[in-house]
Amino acid sequence: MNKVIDSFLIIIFWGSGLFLLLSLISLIAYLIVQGGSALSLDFLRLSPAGSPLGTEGGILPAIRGTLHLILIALTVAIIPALFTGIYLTEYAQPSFLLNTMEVLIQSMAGVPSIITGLFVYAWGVVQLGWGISLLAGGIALGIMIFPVMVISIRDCLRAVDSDYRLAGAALGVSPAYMLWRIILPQSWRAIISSILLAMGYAAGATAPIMVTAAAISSPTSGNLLEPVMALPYHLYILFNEHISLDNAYATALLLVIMLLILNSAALALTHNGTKSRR
Amino acid sequence: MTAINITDWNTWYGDFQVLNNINSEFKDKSITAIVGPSGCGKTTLLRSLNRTAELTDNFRYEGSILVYGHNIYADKAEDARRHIGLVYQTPVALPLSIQENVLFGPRYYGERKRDRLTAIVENCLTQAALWDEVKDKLNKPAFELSGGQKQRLSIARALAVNPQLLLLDEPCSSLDPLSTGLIEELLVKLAMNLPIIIVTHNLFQARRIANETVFMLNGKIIEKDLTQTMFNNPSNEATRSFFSGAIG
Repeated sequence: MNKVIDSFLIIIFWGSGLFLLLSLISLIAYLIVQGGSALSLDFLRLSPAGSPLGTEGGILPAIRGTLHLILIALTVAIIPALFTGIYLTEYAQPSFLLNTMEVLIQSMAGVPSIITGLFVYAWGVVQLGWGISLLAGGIALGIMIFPVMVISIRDCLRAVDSDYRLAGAALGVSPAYMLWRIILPQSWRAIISSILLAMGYAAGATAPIMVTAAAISSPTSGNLLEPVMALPYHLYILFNEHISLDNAYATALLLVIMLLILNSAALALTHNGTKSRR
Repeated sequence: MTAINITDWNTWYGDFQVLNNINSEFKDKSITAIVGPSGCGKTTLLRSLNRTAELTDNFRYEGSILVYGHNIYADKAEDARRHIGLVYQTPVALPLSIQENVLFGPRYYGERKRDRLTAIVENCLTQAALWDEVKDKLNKPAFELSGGQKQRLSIARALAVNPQLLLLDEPCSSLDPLSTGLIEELLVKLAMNLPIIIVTHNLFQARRIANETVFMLNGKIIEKDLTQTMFNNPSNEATRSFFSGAIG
């Protein structure tokens, strides 16, 4: 009987793995077939052109805009996320406050990103008068990735063997010293890798920037108070307004390639980390 | 001379009382073994002595513990831990070199002079009977050491901050007999200079190295006497049963 259950489970495991792999491969293959021909060097280094805009030319301002948005989102989120994660694992004593914080962070991670976008719209774009701008979009993305980063950084720190903390405590050394000498050297690869994943999450998010930052056309000069173009939003416009399906596919392909590069870098970091520690 | 005075010591984890009215004294420059069945409170008593019991959630205590006349619960917990070394059951090699494992405490406490640091490494590793085995690879990662070597390294790390007393929580329970022998030998030597309290499940170990033995049961100290007396002529019936193997 156990043998039957085992074989059944193995079939399910293989099936699930295959399902995942095939979905990913077919998605990428489809994008390559549909968008590969349009994804040229010119497409990467030209601005959108033609009428309606986007039928010709390239997507350089959208690439630049997405990179700017990620940069601002990281600037907003990294420091608070890192210190919140450190506080949760290394300093906080189990208490009502800690439990409340954990619940709040989990809930914050679950807030639909369009709501984060609308919040920043109401607060930054309208009330503070920034207008639709790079700054507002970057902050919206920063708020969106903050709880996700806290959770993953917390888990990276928690993964460090707790015996080290006990050994440190027995010598009376401070948590800060433990963190600096042991915990961070053991976990920085995993932390960087979770930051890379958060970057990917920010790069692909469309809803928060639709209402705060994105424009159909903008030179994307890097001015904080100007609207920017962004890859996912550009893709949405190209597709939704039937401007150019070829260019939409090429944009999608580029976005997916960016995400794959980020995720592989994250994977490589953690993989090398585990190898060198063994 | 008395090193430790414990008076009316009671501890709880939440509502569960672990130690019940402990009153005892521990001698200077000698080894005291704490024995008793699992769950009798041995480890909690040991960890009360360097304030690491508080690291467990919902720990509460009443009573006082004096180390050389000084109430360790009057200071910050970190200060007590600095002066009272603790070696755990599982050997812990910090993910640093062998040398930096020993220097982990001294560097934190501000020792910067190179010759002092070098001296601490050699001195503590020698006291922990590890120097000869590692003196040519002090900069190698400590995780390359064997279990027994790691445990001696843990002892060296504890000694490096000049503790007033050394506590060990079943330090040999995961080690082979040869490593156990080495550690017992080094503990006997160390006890010429400072008091050592060792929790052990191994009655033979208590008999081999302890000057005095404490028998605990259900959170209480049932009997405490010279080890010889405890083994040969205990005054309490429960002690007799435990030492004869009837309970445990």
